[in-house]
Amino acid sequence: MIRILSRRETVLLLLASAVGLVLLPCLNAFVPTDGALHVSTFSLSLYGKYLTYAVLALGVNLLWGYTGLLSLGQCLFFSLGGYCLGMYLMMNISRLGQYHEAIPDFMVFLEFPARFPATGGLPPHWIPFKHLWFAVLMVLVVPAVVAYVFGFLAFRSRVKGVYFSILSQALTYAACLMFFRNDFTFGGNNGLTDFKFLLGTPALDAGDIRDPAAFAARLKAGEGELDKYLWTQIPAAEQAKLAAAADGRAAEAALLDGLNRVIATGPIHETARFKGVALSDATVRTLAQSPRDAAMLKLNRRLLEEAFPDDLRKRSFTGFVVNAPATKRALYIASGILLLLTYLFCRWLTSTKFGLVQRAVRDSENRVLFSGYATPDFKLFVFVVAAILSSLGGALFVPQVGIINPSEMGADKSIEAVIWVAVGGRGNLLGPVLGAIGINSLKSYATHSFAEQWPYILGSLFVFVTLFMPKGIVGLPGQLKELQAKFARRRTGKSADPTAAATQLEPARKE
Amino acid sequence: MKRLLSFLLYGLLPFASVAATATDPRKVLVQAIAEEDAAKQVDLVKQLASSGDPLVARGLAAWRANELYLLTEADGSKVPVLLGAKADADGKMRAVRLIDAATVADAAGQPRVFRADELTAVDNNSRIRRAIKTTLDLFAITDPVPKLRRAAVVKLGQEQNAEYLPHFIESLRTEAVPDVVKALREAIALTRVSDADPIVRNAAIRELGTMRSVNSIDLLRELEKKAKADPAQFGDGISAALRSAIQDIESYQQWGNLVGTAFRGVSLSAVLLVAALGLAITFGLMGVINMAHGEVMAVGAYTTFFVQGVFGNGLLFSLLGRTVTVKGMGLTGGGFDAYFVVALAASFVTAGLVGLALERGIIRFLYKRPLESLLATWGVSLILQQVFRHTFGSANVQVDAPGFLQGSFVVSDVLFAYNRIFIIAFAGFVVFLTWALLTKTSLGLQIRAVMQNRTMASCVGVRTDRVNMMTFAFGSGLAGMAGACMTQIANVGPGLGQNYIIDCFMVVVLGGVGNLVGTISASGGVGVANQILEPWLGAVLGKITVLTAIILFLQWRPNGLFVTRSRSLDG
Repeated sequence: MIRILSRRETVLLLLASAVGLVLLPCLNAFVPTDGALHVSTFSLSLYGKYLTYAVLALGVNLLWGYTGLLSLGQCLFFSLGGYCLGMYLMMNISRLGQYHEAIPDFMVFLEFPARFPATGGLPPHWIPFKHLWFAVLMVLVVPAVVAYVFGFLAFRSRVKGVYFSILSQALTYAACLMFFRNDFTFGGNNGLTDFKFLLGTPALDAGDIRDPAAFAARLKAGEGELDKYLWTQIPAAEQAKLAAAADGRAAEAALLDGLNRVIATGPIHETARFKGVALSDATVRTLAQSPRDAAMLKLNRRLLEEAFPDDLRKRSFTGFVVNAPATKRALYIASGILLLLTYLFCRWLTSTKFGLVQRAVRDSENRVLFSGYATPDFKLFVFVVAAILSSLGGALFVPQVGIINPSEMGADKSIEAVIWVAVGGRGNLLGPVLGAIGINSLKSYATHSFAEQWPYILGSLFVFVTLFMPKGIVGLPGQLKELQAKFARRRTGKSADPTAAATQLEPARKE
Repeated sequence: MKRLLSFLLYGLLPFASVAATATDPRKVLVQAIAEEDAAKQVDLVKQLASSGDPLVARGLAAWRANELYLLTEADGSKVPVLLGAKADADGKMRAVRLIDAATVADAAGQPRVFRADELTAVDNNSRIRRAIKTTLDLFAITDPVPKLRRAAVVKLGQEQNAEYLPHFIESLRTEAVPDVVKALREAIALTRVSDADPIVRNAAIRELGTMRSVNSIDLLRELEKKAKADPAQFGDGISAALRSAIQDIESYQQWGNLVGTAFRGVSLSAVLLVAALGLAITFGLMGVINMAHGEVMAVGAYTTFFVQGVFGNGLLFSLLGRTVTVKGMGLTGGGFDAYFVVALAASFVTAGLVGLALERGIIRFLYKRPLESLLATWGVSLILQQVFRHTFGSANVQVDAPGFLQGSFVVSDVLFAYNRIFIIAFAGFVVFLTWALLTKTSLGLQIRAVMQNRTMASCVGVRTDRVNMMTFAFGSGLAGMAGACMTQIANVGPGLGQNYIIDCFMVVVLGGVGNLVGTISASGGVGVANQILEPWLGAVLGKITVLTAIILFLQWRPNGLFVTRSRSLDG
């Protein structure tokens, strides 16, 4: 295998991984919250967001820095990835949402059951998204297909330069308008939010109740406090259904509906109510923390399982709570690993022969074309790869931020992503990462401390960087060195570089 | 004349009650008030319908609203009076005698004042009130203002009340304004549609059809439904008459819709054209991606707002954290309306200056790096938007339309708004201006030379730097004027530019870069396509369809509609 990393880069990467992937999560997990070195979960989640942005920036850089394609629609792919995973997270809420329905809340709110009566309100394309594997597959496939179709059309007709930028902007603008529509089935302008669980759910599912009919009868009889309580918590409609249920299946459906409501309602534990129940140590410990929101739902499920060990099947794993510190930490580490892998992938791709052609396309596409390379194919491949990378970033962005909505794919966001790359320095791999993390840290700080001035800062940064730092932060040392040499030459009285005059005579509209 | 008319009326109508017994309508009204017999009272009130006396109208309205009072005169007689509108500190008002419009005065000639509760109101009952209402409605059809007259006729016609028919016919004899004549004929026909005689009825239906009466189509459709359900009731021939009338009106409506859509399409095209023309210069000719183009438009819009404030009641804005008050000249009417003309010129100048500064400060360094000019100008647009927010607030500002741009006129039931027509005319003017500049002036010649080959132009002595500067300033000035125009049809706020920028770029790219004809035809195409698609798909989906169509169209013609041919590889 070819050696793709220089020694310096290897050291740098190891160092960054050690700090980012090991040290920060450890400081979050093991240092007490009041410790001086403690990294709060909020900060860690924020850094995680920056890391996903850095992945997006690497995608932009692959296009702009290495292939010379300035796409102003990269946030479309980022959001598409986000939406795909967001759909899984929405489906995973199951019946534990605000409306206790089997479909996500916004569908109830937007009256989808009337639109899609055959599936109980769920649009058909949402159904497979209850499986994580399908969602992840779609994270890869959807943006790739969109990018392939758009890229195929654009590159085939030799749209290039600023025209490509404008067209890609139009694409993301059109998609943004589309996603804003309520009847596009992706939540309209509210988007997807209120995520609760990852990789599993505490909602009771078919098969979790061993003998529904018997269990229903037991609750109805209401011998214990808890039985009575549960029966009163089941809505009258479900009670009526239970009473009328002819077979086990109907009873199960009604019971699932009722019990899931109980799980979703609020804290169900009361000492009097759980008098006769032997709770496990772990449950008692969790109870002491009096968890809220999604964690409370998990606790409720466990309480029910332990109260009715004979009636309810015990499930050892009921998913991760999206907002729990441990989950956030894991997501952060996953983002870090994704960034590292993306970095390595980009390093590998650009160091192959393919990468060489890629850069040649950037520098003079016509020459490459006349040398017999099908440049549209090269560009198309890079465009699709960049779309997938951005989409992966978006997929990890969503569970950490907790919301995805159409404004995320607005044209302004894409241009912002471009400016991260410009500030950090394009055409190399370190720059975009630095730019994305740096500018977003600055943004978090600025919008918090002086929100009014932030547009001025960002705008001036755009202007300043394009005018004075064409190579970004990474190119700054080189630029300074050049400047120094220039001064030195001037002092010794030598004439300026003769090539400078020659470049002035190039045809103006070459690009 | 009046007598002759009453005579004609008398001879014409079977209603003997509409008799010219009393010549003075005020006397008739007073007589009606004094009359004891309710039936006679109603008759008298109905006689007043064609009097046209405004005092009588006021008196009737007051009677109906229980605000007509009886005043006992010095000689013991009771006369009806109206109380004035303005009350003094005690709530007392002057009184006006109904009979001669004279103010009630005391012996010394001083006006006497009364409180409403000191006087007894004239009695009324529901029959009288109904009669008064009918009379007052009919009053309106003799209103001196043709527009009001017409509105009254249309309203009464819809009621299909046979009682109005003689009055319509009478008005028709004297009416001279064509619009009102048409409305009267329509009203007569509409009223006759409910006539008992099938011959009259069918003739009226046919008449409505030949008149292309859009107002009556709902009624005719309903009638058709009824006639189908119960043919016996309506007699022969009605369904044929209805069918042909409805068909006539429907085809007329379709034609009207077509004209309406075309007009709206053209006016949207004009908006796009005005907005995109500046960009066609800066982007199309110079190849500079000015993402701040929309904000330059907003500069024009805010300049208009500013000029309006100066001409009107002044305005407040904040500059560098300090509040600045500009005192207005307080003009009204025509003087105020003139602000818009000044604003157009002023916005050209301010936006041009902003463009000049932008070119000198940033863009001239980036002619060889078009992608980067995109980023830098995006930064400028962020800054400008925030400047607008800080100066004029984040909320939209109110720009009033000058008098001559308000309102609309109607031709064949299609509405033509003056501001839309103005924009179409303005687009034509701007295109002419640009064309003249580019082809008839030496600056235009130089601009074209520089755009074709900058190096060569520079070699033959064209000061390319200066030409670039002037071109960009001109393009920005056009954008500013576009912004001034936008104040008449869109909200003026910090985000004004963002709403148009993508459309503008699409229009220029679609038309073919560096080509004014292309920009004109592209804006025409996009505008009309948007208007055609909108009723089918809704505004948003229509827009998405147009965007997609443009992307696909560029497959077929990658360089846009009109290609500027050159030997350059990437031309």
